[in-house]
Amino acid sequence: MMIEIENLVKRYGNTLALDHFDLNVKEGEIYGLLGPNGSGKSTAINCMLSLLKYDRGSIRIMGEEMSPDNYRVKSQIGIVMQDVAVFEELNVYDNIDCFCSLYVRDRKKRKEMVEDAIRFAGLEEYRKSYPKKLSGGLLRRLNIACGIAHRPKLIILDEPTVAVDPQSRNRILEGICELNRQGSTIVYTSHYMEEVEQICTRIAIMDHGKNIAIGTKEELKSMIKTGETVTIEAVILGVDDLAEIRELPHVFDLHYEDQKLVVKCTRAKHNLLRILNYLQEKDIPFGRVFSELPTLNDVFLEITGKRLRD
Amino acid sequence: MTVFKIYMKIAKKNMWMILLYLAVFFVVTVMFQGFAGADVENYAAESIPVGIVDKDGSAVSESFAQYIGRTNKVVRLEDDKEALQEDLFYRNVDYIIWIPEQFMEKCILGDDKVQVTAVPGSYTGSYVEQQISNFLNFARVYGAAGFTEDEISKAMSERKTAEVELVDFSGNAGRTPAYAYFYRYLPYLFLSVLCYVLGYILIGFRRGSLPGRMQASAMPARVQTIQGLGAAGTLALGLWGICSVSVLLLYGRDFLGNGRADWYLMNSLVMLLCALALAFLVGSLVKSPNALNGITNLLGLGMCFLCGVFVDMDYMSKGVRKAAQFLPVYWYENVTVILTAHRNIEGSVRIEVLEGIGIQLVFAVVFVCLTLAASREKNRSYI
Repeated sequence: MMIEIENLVKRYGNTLALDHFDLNVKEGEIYGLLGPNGSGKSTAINCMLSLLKYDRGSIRIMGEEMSPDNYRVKSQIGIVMQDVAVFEELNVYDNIDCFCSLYVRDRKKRKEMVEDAIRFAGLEEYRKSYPKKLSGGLLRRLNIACGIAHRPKLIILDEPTVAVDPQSRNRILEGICELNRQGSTIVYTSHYMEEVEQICTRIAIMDHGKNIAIGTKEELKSMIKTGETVTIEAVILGVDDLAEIRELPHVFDLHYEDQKLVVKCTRAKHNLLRILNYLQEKDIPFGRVFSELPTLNDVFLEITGKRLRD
Repeated sequence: MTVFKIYMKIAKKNMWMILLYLAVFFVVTVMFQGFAGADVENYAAESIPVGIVDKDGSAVSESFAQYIGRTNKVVRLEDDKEALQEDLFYRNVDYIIWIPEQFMEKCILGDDKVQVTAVPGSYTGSYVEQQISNFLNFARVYGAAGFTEDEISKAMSERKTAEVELVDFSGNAGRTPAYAYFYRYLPYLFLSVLCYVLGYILIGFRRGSLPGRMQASAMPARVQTIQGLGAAGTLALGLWGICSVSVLLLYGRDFLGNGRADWYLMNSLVMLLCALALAFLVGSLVKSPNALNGITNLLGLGMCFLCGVFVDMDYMSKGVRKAAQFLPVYWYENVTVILTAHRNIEGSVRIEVLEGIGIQLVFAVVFVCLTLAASREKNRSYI
């Protein structure tokens, strides 16, 4: 096991930031910590890195008790902070070299690692540039390069794509998958469910400082009632029609507003076809039709009663 | 040596600012040294052309003319009103003295005044008036003692200027040596450069999540602190080294030969420590480079103005002097003044110097304690 966290409790005064939080990350995983802002993701990360004291519980990383002076474990960890953490006074190359040198003493080996990190982050053209001259996306890539240059076994990324353009975001996500292919275990926190869904092999959904669901994205989606959401636009329905649709097999919820019908069905075959057949039989005209499989947002919504980005 | 190198790289980015402060320091030092030195270099007793119309022609009047001629150029003139006016007009003489007939009876034994004429608006006449007054006072004393005209004349001719025994404690012949100005302005350089450069570096290390990234790294916090202190110490010693070498290059023989070079160096080194400790305190409290600029100027200039670096403490009010005692620069300047005034640092002088240096060290310790308290407060959330 790469990370084992048991019963972690962290309080900020009267606020309970982590409420008996548990986490088990296996080697080779890309583990996603998904939750809205303030759910305790960054607090959990800071406790893992021994940057924060906690009130109760235990943290073991790579089989060893994590403590502020466990430098053997620390040397195997790469971190990418939520805020860009680089020296504005050093250029791209010097920044990566400086953070790499906190882990690697051998100058020759380090040079090679820094070059690899520059290539990995696509910063070849900017090696002499200073952070102030870089765009938001490039700055985030530099932030990542600084965290991974020493080729750590465990990489912890705390919301690395905040305020990044889509192009840079895709590049960052591809890079994270590449690091995982190269053998690093990844812990990735985000409140963007699409990102977590896209790259993570296992996901923990957090709210109010505890895990409310853990599993692969498929497992998480199977935990909820919603199997399919059918949306039909420009349709005029009466109260009787809505009652009849609600009675169709596998339909468990519907919402009709401004001539737009949203029907939630449990996991079953031909849900969409059944609804369309009903409309056809009743000769009810309709516009565009969508069918969506459940997202992690649906999982979060169904478990907590609120949206991820509320 | 990662942290050490980062300190140096950030300091290198501020090299222009360091050079600017050095340039300001050297210009100010040379300028003040020039102003202060000018008065001493140009001082000389005033000698003016004095015309004497001697109507008496006695031994005493001759003795009087010779007395005036000791410090002035005496021109003998005829009693011709027009010619005398011309002499004054063309500035052949600045001052004319009429010695009346029966000079002894009228002016020495009697109370008559010697008639004089000066060039209008000339201030130099007052020196001559003082000399006339001196002669008459002495001559009257001799006259009252029953001296004859010849005896008074002889006594006044033989009278010399009073001998004064000058005890030169400083060994500088009453002049402030040039290197003393250099050491006087040194706190401004130390405070400005160290507060600015170290403050800038420490702000850099505290930016955003950098402290977290550094603490989560494989380099122990203790090693990071030691490297940081080492780098700051190297920068400070480098600055002190530049200043010390400059003193040797500029005032080498004078400075080394004064017998107090080691004291000057020790005092400046302790002031450097104080400035370094204060710089750490400033760096741990200030959040932005703009604020740092303001605070550096406030501390550098403010302390130097209050503590007698730019303006002598003698010109300050009692209240200001009292307040200045709560600042380390006051004690540095106090020691510098003592070192400039005394060639031999022994006995009570030595104790006073050591006290001044000791108080500066106490200030340095206080600044270090305040820095540690401030850092602890800021890192409370971190382990």
